[in-house]
Amino acid sequence: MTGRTGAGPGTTASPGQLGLWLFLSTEVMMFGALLLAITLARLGRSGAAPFDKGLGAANTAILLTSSLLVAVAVERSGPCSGPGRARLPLVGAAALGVAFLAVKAVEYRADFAKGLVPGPDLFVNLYYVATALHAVHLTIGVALLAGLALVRPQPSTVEAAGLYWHFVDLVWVFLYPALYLVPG
Amino acid sequence: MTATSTDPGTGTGAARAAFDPRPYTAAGHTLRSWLTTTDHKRVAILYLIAITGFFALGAVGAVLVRLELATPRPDLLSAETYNRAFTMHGIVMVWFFLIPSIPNVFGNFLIPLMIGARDLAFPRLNLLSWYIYVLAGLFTIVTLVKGGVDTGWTFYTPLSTQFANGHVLLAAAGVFTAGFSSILTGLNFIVTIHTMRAPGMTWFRLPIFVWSHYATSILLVLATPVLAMALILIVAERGFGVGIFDPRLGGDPLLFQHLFWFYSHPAVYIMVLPAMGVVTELISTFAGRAVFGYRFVAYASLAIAALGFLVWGHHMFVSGQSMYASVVFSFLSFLVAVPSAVKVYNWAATLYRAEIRFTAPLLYGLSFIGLFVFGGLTGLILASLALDVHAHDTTFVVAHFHYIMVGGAVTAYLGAMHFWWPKITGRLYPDALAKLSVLLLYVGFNLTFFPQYILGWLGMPRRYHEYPAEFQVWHLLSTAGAGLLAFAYLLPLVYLPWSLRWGQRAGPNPWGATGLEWRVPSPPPTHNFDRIPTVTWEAYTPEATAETKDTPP
Amino acid sequence: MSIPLWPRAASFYADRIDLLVVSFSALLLCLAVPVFVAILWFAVKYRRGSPAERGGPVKREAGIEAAWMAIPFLLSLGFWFWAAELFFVRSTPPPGTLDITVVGKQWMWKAQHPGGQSEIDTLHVPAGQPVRLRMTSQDVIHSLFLPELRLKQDVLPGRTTELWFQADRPGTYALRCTQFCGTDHATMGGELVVLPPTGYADWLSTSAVEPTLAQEGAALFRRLGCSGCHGSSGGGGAGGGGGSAVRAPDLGGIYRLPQPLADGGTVIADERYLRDSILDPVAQVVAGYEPVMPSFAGKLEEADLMRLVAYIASLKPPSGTTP
Repeated sequence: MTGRTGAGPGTTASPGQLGLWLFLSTEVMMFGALLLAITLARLGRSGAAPFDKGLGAANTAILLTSSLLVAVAVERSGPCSGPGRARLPLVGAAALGVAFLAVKAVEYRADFAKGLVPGPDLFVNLYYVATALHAVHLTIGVALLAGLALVRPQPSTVEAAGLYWHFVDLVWVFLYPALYLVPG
Repeated sequence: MTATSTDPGTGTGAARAAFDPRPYTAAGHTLRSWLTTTDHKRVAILYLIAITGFFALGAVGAVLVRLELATPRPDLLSAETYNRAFTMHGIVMVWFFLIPSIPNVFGNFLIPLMIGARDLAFPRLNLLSWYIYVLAGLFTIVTLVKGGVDTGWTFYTPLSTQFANGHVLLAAAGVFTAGFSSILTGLNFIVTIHTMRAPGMTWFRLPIFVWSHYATSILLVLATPVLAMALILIVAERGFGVGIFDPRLGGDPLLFQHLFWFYSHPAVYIMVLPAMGVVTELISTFAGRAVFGYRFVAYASLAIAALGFLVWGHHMFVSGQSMYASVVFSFLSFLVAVPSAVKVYNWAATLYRAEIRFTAPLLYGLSFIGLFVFGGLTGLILASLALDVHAHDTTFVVAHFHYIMVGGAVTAYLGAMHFWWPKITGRLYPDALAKLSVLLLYVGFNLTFFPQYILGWLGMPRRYHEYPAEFQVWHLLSTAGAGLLAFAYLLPLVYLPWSLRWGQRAGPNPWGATGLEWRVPSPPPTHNFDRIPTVTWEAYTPEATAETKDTPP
Repeated sequence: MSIPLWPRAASFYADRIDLLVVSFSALLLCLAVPVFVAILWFAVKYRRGSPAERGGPVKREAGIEAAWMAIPFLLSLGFWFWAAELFFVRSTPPPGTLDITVVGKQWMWKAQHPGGQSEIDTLHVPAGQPVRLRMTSQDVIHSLFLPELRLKQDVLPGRTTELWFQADRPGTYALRCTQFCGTDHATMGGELVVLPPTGYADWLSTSAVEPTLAQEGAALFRRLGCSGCHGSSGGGGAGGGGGSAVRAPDLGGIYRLPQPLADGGTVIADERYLRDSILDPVAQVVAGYEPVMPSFAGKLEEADLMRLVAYIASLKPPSGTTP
């Protein structure tokens, strides 16, 4: 951003891309605020995190794999690829998203069985808020990817949806250690 | 200096569709044509109408509060009604008037014109943003009137999550939704300023108005989501019983204040940065001189925006936050005064060796400086730790932020209205009446809010509907001043609409101003520029009013 | 009726605040008035049609900008420091304060003196003696505001905040709530009565005595079964006898003294530690003991916690043991 930058249309990123990044930055700020609250609650609490590390790790693996598939889909939606070649990885990524939600549901059940319900522990309460909010974002992502798999999308649309998916993945990559791993 | 404009109708660009030289106001007269428009100028008019309505509703709350406070006893309103009245005043004025005011009306109308673009980057998103704003606003108003909310606009927990009786959840939902409108507007402005500048319109040729809106947009995009999170957590606790803030449920009551002020302090700069942009244009135009220290003024906007994120803790000096945190927040708050002072000093220096024309817009600009400086200086008193301990949550604070938000932002909003009215409507208004309304505003405002500094220091807490009898003199002065101020706000509501029909017609550049917006006819054509101009001059220089150099076909 | 212009000052600290605010305001006016004068002077001198010289290049712009950025800021920094220093005074009570417990609730203040005398919406304190208010709220956030002392402090549920002061001038002053706390916020207040020390003693002796916090805490300590494990020296001789059943540390005489922890660290057994240990006992276990104590989080009201802590703080070291 200097005075010498050539001005005018087309000198920077496309409006759509810039807009999408700005939108994602709002999401970063929102989840960032939540992560900060989680960190504070963690500091004010002793003992290891009570949540199921195994299921959390499984979900991390599921999401990372789905991100890989989305990257493949973006690659295959480019002008050099044949039509419809992005469909399979998109469906795969969406299916993995559903798998994540299923694992999450199993985990919630187990948490409830263990008595890990919203109660006098701020950390546990924030766990529920954060994972629920993340699940809402993930559900939107699943709908997006599934929708794209049904139509023949523009490469830029696949890229935009992919960016969103990677972001939702990235949020989990921060939530997982903050909620499951950081020792007391 | 002569006013020039592109001559309409001579578009020779073969690659482009024929240019329609008719003003944007003539692009359709049906309600439907307005409600489905994506023209940034028409959306700005939609905002102007909606915002004026919300301002009136917020003002009703203020009138009720001031009338009740005319006497020490609770005679006009019960405690419940009074608490609902000031809550409504705060919520409506902050989220449905001040935050959208200058950006969504004047930013919307002017940014494309000032940077030489035909519209914003996302015109449909712009209209969507208006619909979200209006629906969220109406929803919130209904909530606040039917049943009401009595938490204050700050929604402090655990009062709001566990103890308040009103429709806290619905009001929070309304404010949350309005946030999307803020974010979309900020996003649209940033992308527009980055990607749609005319050839030759480099960053340092942009009017300061555009710089201010750029800084404001960053705040809108980055701060609003944190408010969203705070409101989501309120819903989690109040709606679902998940303890976040109430210690009885394992929560932390101060967590909310951190999240809330992380948004709401930058929100103050969302209100005042565009106002500073407006005032810079007013001063420069009517001084007939380039802005003194252009780059410093431009960078000061960004500095204020950046520092705005680092000072939220100065709202919490007596909340029980760590003493050392308070010392740091106090220091950073002193630091914010530097870029703010840079602006004021540069405005004063712009007047040096100038050729000053005393028009109504300039008088609004000078009133802004007078009131803003006073609000800023008392802000330094509040940023001083031991002094804030005494003044915190008294009417001293109320006076301080009204000097910034009303004396500052609203005065600049009216200044912008009077400056760009001829451009927006193609009509001039009666100058004498406008000057009278500035005078009323300046006297009325000071009479309303200066007594509140004294009351606050005497120990009058805010949000009290009854108070010790010895305070009554100052409260009466304040209420009387509010009457004068109301008159100053009502006067333009009479002569500006009057001018639409009977006002003298304005040329393209009635003030001899320098921005690109003054090179197009008044009102501008739907697509703004017949040909996109190529900018070869620096901002605010005399060349800026000379003949436009068109791009060669 | 006279028009009030300045609040009374009931303490030397209030005098210092007044001196600071007047001095700072003077500096701020010195910074602002020249700007206003300059604007008015320019406005007249350079009005359109006046014969003044105009235009001309701008010289030494960067230098001017640097000057008006740096000089006012550096001048104001002195006041930042001054205000921070007074804030430090406000935040650090001297030793040997008279401790009064204050509980805020919608919409009243309740204060209890060390001897058990309690009062509502009024606070009697002796002049010339440091007083420390230990405050908590039973519901929402309140804020205790003593304008004539230039002091206030938020009062929060779930934790204890402190406010200390020394009122130097006997008299009757205002006491208000400044944090909006619901419907009757405006009436949640009363009087601060500063009495000469003898007057305060008289007032104490004529006021009805309720059980002190510590006495109430002792009853609670037995009722909750704490005394079963914490064979407290104050609790009736359990400390000496059967050493076999010692599952928890004796609490006599630990208040405000360092305690060794199981993880090798030490902690000062202050109010905060005691409170936290009741609510989250396994967090910081004293060396030599198992983390077997159940949590009392959610089972105790805030006022009960204060009673228990007050009781533990009042315990004397077990007789017969030597440090």
